Amino acid sequence: MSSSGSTHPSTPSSDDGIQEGIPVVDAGTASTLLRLGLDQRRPVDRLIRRLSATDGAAWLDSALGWGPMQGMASPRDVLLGGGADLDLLKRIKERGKAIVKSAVSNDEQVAGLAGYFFAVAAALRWHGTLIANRAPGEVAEILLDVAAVAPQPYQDLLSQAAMALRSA
Amino acid sequence: MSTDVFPSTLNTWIDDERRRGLSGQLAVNHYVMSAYAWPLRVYYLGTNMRWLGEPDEIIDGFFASRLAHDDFYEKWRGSGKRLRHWLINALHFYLREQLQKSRRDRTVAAPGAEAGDVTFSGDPDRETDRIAAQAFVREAMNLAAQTCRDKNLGDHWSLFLRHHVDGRDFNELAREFSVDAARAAVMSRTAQRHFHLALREIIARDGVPDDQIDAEIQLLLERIS
Repeated sequence: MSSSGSTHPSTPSSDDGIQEGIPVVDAGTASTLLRLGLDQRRPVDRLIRRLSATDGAAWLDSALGWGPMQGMASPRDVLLGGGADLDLLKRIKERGKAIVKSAVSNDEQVAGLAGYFFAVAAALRWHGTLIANRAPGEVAEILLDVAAVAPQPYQDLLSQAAMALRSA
Repeated sequence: MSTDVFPSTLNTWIDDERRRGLSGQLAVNHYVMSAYAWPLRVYYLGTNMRWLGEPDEIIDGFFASRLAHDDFYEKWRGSGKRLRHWLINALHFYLREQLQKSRRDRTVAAPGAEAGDVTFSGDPDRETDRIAAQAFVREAMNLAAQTCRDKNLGDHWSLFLRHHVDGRDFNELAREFSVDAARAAVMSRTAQRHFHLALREIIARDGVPDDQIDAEIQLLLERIS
């Protein structure tokens, strides 16, 4: 066994940079935070991964146009302007769902997911109505997770929709 | 032993750093000491050898003795063990060496260690896992906090801590951080995402393949409960 004096270690002190501000965590806190490390493996996580990519914002604008909102003049106006009626948002959601089911590529499937969840968010934000057949708590968690990686102004749409559900 | 027998997804950070040469080796050693010093100290205090010296001195001596060896990490990789268990195993050998040294230097018998075996009060594996769970969370917090600082997300990180550690709700935090509740929620969630990735990275560095990280977290949750 050989040894090298050049890598001779010294234990970092408690005020070493990397440990700055983080005290030893108690078992209760550790348990709470450990759970946040679990992968949930939901379909929406594919959308979250896609939006997290460096080209996520550009991809979203393009994907909504050729995906579930194809043929609409401005997907942004429909989702963010507040003028779209509930029936239109339900149709976008259903189109998104159909695309997810029939998709032949990952990108297509993820575009379908975007249409589905963004339409759900817009319905909550502008009409205060949950149009998804899921538990409100589950939808709020999903919308917040997507919001954390979504570009503005979609991030505000998603987070406001999530908070509307949480406070309902 | 060749490292080729291990999946390429295993310990990529440690391998990548070590391939960078001396500075990478130092970074790996710094990380291992930062992450594992506290668990090793706590473990040492639970052994029959705790009279050998002050915990900080013993653990500093242990790291100095073992991490400077060029093949330390290769031997760990060859063992197939989690790094935390490998380090505890290595600590046992180190404590035995210290006992022999103590016997040479002193003429008095060591209390409770006549046979020279290191024993631990309790189940050593369970206790190692329990302490490591807390240490991993702390290291993940360090890593995520650094990432948030680098990305100018300092307030996001503070919000995350206030919500998940201090238990404050978003309406309260909205007032504290002068944002609306929706903004507070998404800021916290952004930092949470960095913490999620950091925790999985820290657990991977312990020698856990990507596809076993969820199972490892479940094990640690069970140990810590």
